Amino acid sequence: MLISEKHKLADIIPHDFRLIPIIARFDIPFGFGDKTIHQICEEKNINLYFFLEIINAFHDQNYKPDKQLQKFSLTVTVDYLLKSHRYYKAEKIPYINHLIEKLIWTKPEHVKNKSLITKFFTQYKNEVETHTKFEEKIIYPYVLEVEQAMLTNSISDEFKHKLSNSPVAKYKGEHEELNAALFDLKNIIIKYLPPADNSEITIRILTEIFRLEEDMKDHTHIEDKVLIPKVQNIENELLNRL
Amino acid sequence: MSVHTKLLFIIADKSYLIRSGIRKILEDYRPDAEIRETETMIGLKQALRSTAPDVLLCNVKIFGKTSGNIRKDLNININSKLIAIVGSMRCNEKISFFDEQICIDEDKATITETLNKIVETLPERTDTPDTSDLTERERDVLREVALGKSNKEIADYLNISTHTVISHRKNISNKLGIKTASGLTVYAILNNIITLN
Ligand SMILES: [Fe+2]
Ligand SMILES: [Fe+2]
Repeated sequence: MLISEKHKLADIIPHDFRLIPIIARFDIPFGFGDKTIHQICEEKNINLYFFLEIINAFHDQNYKPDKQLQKFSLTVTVDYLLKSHRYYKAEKIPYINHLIEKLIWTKPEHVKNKSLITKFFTQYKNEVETHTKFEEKIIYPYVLEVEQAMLTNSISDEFKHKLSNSPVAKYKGEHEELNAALFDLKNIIIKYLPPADNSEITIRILTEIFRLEEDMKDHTHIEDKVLIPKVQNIENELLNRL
Repeated sequence: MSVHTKLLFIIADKSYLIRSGIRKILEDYRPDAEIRETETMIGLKQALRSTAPDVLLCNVKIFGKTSGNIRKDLNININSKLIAIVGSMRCNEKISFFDEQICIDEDKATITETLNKIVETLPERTDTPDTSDLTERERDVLREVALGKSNKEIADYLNISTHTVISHRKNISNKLGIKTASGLTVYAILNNIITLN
């Protein structure tokens, strides 16, 4: 289904509850009554078309957002990406970590399982930390700088140097590694890890990993297929102007 | 990853409605199948360059006026089955180079039956293999990966080329559904291929 500005947000959520964290990323608190998406975006000063692109892309994997998303300013896109980082690091990952801590194996031959899975997840957590930090400290600020230079048509010498050593070119590929780690974790739990005594926790962990994986894939898709190509286009244009 | 065992269908037709309809029938018939769609000849050629589908369902109109040897023109793998998507009338005789045909105004059951007839002629599929299906060499490579060695170190140690190591690692990952080195380490410990100390 194509979600449009005329839909009531309250009708959309029961239709696809996976959108809950996505909507939260736009700082829309619940209790919005029968307001349409159009009304809510207007009130909250959210770019309506950006909002629609993001939720449609998440809702329907066959939806092709790229062309439309290209129209939005990089600032809006970066802001959204930053909010999803916060969601992963402050909520999702700590929660999965907490659940993993609660797993129990009592049989002596199984005690090693807990430390194995904990170690694997800790390593993943650190990789996410390093990756997002790099994006927040280097990539995103650079992206905003590129946009600024384009808008103001002014390029300082310092920026000229950065432009010719663009950090975005070599940053592709890291996403595959991150997504692979979640893919592995899922299969290790489903196929290979001897069942824990408290299987209800395992069920919760798996559900959470599937959701995080889906969310992350969407996130990295926006970075790889929307943000980076757009930045590279502007870079080329700026370099031509020099 | 059961990549090897999943059936791959490609639907090539200009019409979105027809592609979607056939996709729906395929999904109901084989929920585990991988289905790709393309609407142009160029798209089809591209898809065929990287993969060999088990079954290609293809509207004859997509070829334009060429009516030579389709298999040869498109370089279609000899193991791939070809089904023609035809308009409102089913031809009585076989369309050359196609194994079967489905007609867009046939009912779902008839189309499913045709699909099934073709799929049954495909070679037997085995289920996703388990560890015991790792070859001895692959187990050797897995052990070294789990011990944290690089591809180069493994190649030297096992006296094989780095290229061979990489190809073993690909096969291991496909068989086990584990891609990262740390994931493989967890697997190796769980299965006593290496011990914790
Ligand atoms: Fe990111
Ligand atoms: Fe990223």
